[in-house]
Amino acid sequence: MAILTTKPLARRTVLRGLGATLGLPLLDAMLPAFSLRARAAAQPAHRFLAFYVPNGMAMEHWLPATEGRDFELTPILEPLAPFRDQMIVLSGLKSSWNYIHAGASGSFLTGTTRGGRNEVEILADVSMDQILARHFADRTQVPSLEMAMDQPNNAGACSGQLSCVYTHTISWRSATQALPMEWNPRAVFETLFGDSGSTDWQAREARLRQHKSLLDAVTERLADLKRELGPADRTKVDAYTEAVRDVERRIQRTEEQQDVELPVVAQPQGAPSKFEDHLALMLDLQLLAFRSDLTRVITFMIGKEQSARPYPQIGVPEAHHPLSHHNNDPALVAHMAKINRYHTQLFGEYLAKLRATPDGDGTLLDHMTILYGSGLSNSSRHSGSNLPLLLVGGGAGRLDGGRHLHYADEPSQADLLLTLMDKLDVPVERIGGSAGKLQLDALPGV
Amino acid sequence: MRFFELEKRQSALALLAGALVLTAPLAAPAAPGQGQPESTGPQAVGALVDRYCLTCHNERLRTAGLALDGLDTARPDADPELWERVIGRLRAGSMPPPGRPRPDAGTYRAVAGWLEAELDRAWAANPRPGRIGAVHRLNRTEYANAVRDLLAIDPDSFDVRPLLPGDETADGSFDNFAGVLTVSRAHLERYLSVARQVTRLATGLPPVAPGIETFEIPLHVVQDERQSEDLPFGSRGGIAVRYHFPVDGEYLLKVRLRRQYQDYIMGMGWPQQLEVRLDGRLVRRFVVGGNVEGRPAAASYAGAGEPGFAGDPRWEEFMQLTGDAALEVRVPVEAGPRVVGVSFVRELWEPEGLPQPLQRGRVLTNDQIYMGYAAVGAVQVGGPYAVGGRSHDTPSRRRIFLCTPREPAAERPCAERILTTVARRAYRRPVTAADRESLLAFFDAGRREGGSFEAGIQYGLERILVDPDFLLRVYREPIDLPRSQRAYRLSDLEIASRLAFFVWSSIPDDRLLALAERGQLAEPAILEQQVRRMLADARAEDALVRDFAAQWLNLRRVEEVVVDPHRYPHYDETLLQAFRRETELFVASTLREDRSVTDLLDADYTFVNERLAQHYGIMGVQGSRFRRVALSNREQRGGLLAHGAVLATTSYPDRTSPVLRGKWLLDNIFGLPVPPPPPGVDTNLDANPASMRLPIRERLAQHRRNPSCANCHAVIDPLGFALENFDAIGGWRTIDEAGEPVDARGTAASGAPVEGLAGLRALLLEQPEQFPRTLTEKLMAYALGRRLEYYDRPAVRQVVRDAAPRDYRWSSIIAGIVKSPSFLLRATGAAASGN
Repeated sequence: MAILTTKPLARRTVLRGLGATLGLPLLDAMLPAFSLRARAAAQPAHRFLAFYVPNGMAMEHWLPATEGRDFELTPILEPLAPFRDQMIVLSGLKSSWNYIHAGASGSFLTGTTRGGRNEVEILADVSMDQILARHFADRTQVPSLEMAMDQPNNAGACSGQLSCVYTHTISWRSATQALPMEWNPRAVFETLFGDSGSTDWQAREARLRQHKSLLDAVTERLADLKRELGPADRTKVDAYTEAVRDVERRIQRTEEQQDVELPVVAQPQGAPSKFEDHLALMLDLQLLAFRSDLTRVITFMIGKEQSARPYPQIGVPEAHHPLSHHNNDPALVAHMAKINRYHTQLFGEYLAKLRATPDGDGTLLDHMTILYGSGLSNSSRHSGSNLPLLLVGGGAGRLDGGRHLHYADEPSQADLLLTLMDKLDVPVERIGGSAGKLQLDALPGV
Repeated sequence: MRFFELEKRQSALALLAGALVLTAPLAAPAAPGQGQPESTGPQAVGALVDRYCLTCHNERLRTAGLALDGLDTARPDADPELWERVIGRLRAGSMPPPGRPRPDAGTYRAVAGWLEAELDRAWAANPRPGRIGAVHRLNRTEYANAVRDLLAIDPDSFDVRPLLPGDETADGSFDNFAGVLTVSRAHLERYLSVARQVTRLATGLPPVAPGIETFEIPLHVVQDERQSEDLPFGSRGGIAVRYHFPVDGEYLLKVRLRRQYQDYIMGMGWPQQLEVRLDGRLVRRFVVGGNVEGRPAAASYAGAGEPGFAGDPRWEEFMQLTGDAALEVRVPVEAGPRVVGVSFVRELWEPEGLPQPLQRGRVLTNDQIYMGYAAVGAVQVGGPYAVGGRSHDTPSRRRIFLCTPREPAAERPCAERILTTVARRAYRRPVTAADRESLLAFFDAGRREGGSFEAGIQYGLERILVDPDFLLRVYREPIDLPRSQRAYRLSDLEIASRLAFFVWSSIPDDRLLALAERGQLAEPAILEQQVRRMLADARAEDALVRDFAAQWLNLRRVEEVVVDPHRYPHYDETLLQAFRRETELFVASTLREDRSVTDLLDADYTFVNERLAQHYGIMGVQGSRFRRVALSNREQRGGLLAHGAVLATTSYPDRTSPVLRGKWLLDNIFGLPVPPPPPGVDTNLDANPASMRLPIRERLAQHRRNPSCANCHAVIDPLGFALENFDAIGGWRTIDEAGEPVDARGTAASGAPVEGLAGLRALLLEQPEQFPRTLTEKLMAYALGRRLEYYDRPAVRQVVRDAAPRDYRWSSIIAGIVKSPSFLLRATGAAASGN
């Protein structure tokens, strides 16, 4: 049983035989009721999105042979042709922690060079999205969203006998705290709009008051607890206390920003069983969050690292992860490329929506920096060299798209993260194992 | 830093690789002149180390990072970590390496036994119980079970687990390890949301908004049989859904039929009767199919939407949209958990169809779209609409409302009684004055805002469910311990919680809590009596099967199994569900009958339904109900190692994997964990076209010729070979993927042969304490909620030793764990930080 919507969500129904499309995806259906807060005068916010794809890439179908502005679109990149002018293809970067699959996702946004030594030691570095989240915490209601397409399973079989957190998330609040990624659209909805079951302000406000009372009670008990425990035992209580503060801060922001007009949205009831429907819902929720400026930082995994999801709907019945160990067999690599291309195609559809959404003097996409890619290149050898990475979006005027940049000296992916923090105007000294900044703007000869 | 890490990993790898050389020491040839067991004792051990070990393990060479010269063999307890490693090698018979001179089997045993006795004696005098983190968060399952026990909400009718963030684990560990259970903002937000939902449900308050919940049937579940004990005899297909109706009111029951890959509803060519039932009572009977108008698509339509192949518009619209649109009924339902059943009336004939391979994923590749059976795709329950006045009596309301105030003045005393009763059990301790005050304040606020006594109780309960004392198990070290004290006994309340979460994955019940409050758990007889009482409770079987065994035996991975439909056309999801069910029922039976855990490997029975019996080649089993069957062919079945769940989760989609199976056996059955491949190593088998055609055995042999792989794979692979008679979905076979007769012979690195399931079983049972020890290690880690370390080995040995005279029965191992110092004590902070 659940708190659910009164009206079922519009589901896309395709009358294939007739070639007619009935019904609409979520956001289109919502739009009439959606009125954007008048913010035209304000400086549009610069948003960050990380879009992770698992199990590496069929590199021979991904990597453009030519560098610079004249690079050709390879089969996997081809669906992104409409966004070429706002896209930088990066090559030559290497993973900061190349350790089977755990390192791929574990280092993607942390730039970490380390991991735990066993299944219970959880150790990486704070991820770039969380540094940004902390920076924006005073400005947005939800500092960051962490979302994924896979249900967290307890099945074990994670990478290299390390905890599954390394493959299930790319977001790290601290060196020892990996953040769970939410797969359930309903939970994401509640994160954005609260659990009052409604976007109506009065209902939300009453619920926020209750939350405050409940959190006060929790805070009091945590303080008692801290007194009862020795110094060494307090760490986890501190993390708990910090989580309480996060929610409190969030309530405060929400109260301050009650003039933010929210669309009348039906609360999703759960995850649709079709991958594409589920994905559409997850991406629409992201769009909604960005567009209402409820958050400026989202991390998303279209598949957990080492995902075994098969894609029969595009003619790939093989499980993704085993397929990625293709031994460079061209037929299998071609299948792998189909999955990779399908992901860029779905990503492209999302980009189209971002570009179609007005934001300030431009579009949402203009004011975004999106890092797309994987923490492995050739997964068959668990290779962490020459990572497949894209920067997409206008970067609020800070990204010069339409180029393929190749770094011959194999800099660490951590250096890219450090550089992006500059671009996002939240400069930091170091991210994970970063050694320095990358030249993103004007490489010689470009 | 990085180099250091790497080096450490590699040396650990080398060490473990040594441990892996699995031999049968009894069968190992004795070196010339070493016929008699030597006497044991420090001198003998010293002599033995000199003679057999120092060649490699000396200060100069430090092979595998180990130097044994200069060690005082008279005092192994001075370095238990090192000597536990040595014992591991001796027990596995893996050192000295095969081919080197080695003592005879008796000496191995005598020396290992002496070392163990020395370490165990030192440990008994001064146990090192380890130190679990002070804060141990409830995981999702524990949370759900606690809600069940507090509020009488049945997890099958209302499952909170999908509403909470997942608990991360890894192969070889459990989702209750304290170290990885953190609390983040996401957790807290979910706790707030779920606390409100469950307490509203339990108190009979309507949900904040009516909703629709969907119960999907996985696409590849075959619906040719009666699907559930909760569906009528003579029914076919469908689903029985347990659903907690929150309040008396009107609800919508809606059925969506299954569609195939073109989104056509299946089986619409002929009329079939579909029934909707509530708690077994017929609510409505529909006729589906047989009424499609217009020209159908070509019968074996498999195009991609090209015009001309499709049916005409009326037909298409019916088949995709309207065919099942009317399958809904609005009914008044009284609040409480009920069963919604949807099924077809069985016909006396069966459609004949073309067998087609199944495709896994979002679509069904099945072109028997028209004349095959219709099937249920999903059942939806919506509501409540038209909410009635007062809520019906429900198990939850009976559990919660211990009193009903007749007048306003009686409300607060009654609320106090209700809330403190729940709080005591939720917090697993006596309620304090501060608790009482806080709960009543929340009651008052809820009473005021919600306008009813129930609303006040609901808010008070919500308050309880977000309290850190509910969500966390806290270990509080007494503050007045002398600094010299290395360990202290947990409080009775802490022990009660630990015991309940171990055996039930839930909170203690009243009896256990009362004993703890009176300080009576310190009495070993009472503690043991409680263990037995709790094991007899159905919750024990449920938790130990669905949490412990499911993780230990890969059952939670069964649904992730991907199978190549071309190679295994007979596979479907119904079979996978049967695999899981078989193992659950089997383990449950050993628990219920308190059998020896060695029966897990060597039972002469299992549990099957018709589908699984066919798969296993067992005759005479009809129907979808699972039942116990005696096994006549023990060469092929009997024991966990021949269970589909284990075999399918250790295979690739298109072939068996002796590597995965061998590794799984070593980790989970032999108790000799395998390290992962070193970083940067190409783990693929040679892919040139010539070798691709070779049988897997020969491809793996090439693999083992690579020295960096050979160390471990020389041990892993041969064990996997012993199970080669089982295909990738656990079916018995005599011909392998390459078309060659199956060769199920393996050769352990020592030269000891292992052949087939029977050989593997014999090898495992040859040392009777070996498998019980592995199981005890797993179970103890689960019971403690942490990884086992070297200093836990004496505790494991003690449990196994004490269980031996009782035949290693489940109860003897579980009681042994509960009575062990590792369970009852905790190292002090000072001891743990080495001060």
